[in-house]
Amino acid sequence: MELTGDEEKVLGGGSGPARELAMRILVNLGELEGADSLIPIVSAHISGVSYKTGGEGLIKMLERFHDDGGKVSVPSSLNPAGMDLDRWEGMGIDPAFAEKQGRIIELYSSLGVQTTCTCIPYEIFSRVHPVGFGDHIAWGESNAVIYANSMLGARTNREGAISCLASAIVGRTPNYGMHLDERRLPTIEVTIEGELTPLHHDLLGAYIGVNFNSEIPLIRGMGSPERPELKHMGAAMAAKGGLALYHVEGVTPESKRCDPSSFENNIKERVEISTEELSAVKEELYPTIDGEIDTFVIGCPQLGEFEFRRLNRALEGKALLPGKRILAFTSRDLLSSLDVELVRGVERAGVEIYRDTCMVVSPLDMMGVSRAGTDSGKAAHYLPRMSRISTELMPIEMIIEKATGPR
Amino acid sequence: MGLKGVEEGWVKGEDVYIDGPVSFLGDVDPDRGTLERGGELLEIDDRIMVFTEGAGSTVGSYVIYNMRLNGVAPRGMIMCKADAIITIGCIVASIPLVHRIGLDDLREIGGSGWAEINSYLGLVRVGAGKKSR
Repeated sequence: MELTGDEEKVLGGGSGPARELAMRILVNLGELEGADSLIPIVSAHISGVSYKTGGEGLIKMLERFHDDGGKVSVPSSLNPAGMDLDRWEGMGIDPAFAEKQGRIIELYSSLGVQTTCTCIPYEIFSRVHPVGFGDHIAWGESNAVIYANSMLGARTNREGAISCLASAIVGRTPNYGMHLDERRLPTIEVTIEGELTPLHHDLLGAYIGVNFNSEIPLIRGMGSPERPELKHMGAAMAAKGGLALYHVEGVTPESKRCDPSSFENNIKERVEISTEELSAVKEELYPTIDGEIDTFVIGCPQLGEFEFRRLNRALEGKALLPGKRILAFTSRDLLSSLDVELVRGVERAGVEIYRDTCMVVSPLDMMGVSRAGTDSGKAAHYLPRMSRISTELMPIEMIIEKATGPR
Repeated sequence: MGLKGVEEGWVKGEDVYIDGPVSFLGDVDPDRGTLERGGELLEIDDRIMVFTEGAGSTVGSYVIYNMRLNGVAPRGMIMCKADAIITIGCIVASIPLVHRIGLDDLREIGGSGWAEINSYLGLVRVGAGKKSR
């Protein structure tokens, strides 16, 4: 890999041990992946925030960067933490866990990271505004990665918990994979037959993730999908598989700018899938669970404004039945940007709204939840694996009916 | 053969061969320095790990670092093909790692019971100081 004089100096320790370690991580990663150089980035989003997943190693790593004088050199934000940073007691979080989580946030803050904890930086104005089409960024969190590449036309690999932190500190990332024009062309074509419901998008994402683990799909026949639906589709795709980019014909920016003849030869496989087939594979991808479900979790990825409005409409005039809970997860910045009446309406029905966190990275198992229902293909994938919670995927309408009783 | 040092170092000691890809998040107990394989617990604490490749979550890098902090880290790693998770884990935990070793050579090293990694000289020795390449 070719390094500039400045980069060599950082690697040699000339600008302190924190930047030296970060540079060593990026150079080794670049050489491993066959990158030719490092390129400047305009934004970093750092995964590896929850004490549940990072443990003591995460704290010690951040202390090491902090003690060595580390500071981020580009605007950087954080993935969800393991709890609502203010209302953790209401969530039933153990104080010892809360103390460790607080320490992690404090350390990130001392490194200069903006401590809004969100998995939807692409819906937070201050985070997404500076990122333009074609910009190079280093984002962790697979749903944010696939959204940024696909919907914003920005460029990022699926960064790991430590590599995005290293990139934030150095302000660069190795030039390989998603940063290169030729690695962003579609490799498979998926044609949809029929009208997709919101839940079909989760199923489509999961289906592509499982069957085309490291491909770049071009999806045709989708009509004009709403952004929240594509957010769910991408999240499921990137959770079930290793995908980092999709194109939707006539919708995503690169598909609009691209001449189809330029990638015709790149397509290895063409598949057609109908909405009936997607409904039929649901049982295989997300098996139904036994027993009564009392807890429903929504907001994976975290809820945006559109989803809040939809939820508020669906809950109008309704209240949760005794013993039923709906836990909704969103970002602090997003919540504060919403109309107060909208938030009150959702809370009045009995929905518990938590910020800074989500159902996947909070210790839901320690909070007494053993079975859950969700409208998210990503959450239904991770909850059984990470928290041993039996989880059933269902449409939002069914969640509301089960939690509030029949109309 | 393009033997390549990722994290530099010179170490020698008892080795442990692990069959199949290793997912540090899930397979490894970072408090005890053990790895579960087919219902059995293998000691990796202070051993040279010999295995083909990695798998699983990127949080795996922190599991490797947790082993170092708990004083139960492997002494070195020899792999067919390193990935980003393990490479970064070994850098932050200062564990010498070499890769780009063929499967037959890897099995020979793993079966010898003792290995030496000297990434400065680009060599791996097996058995009682026997030079393999």
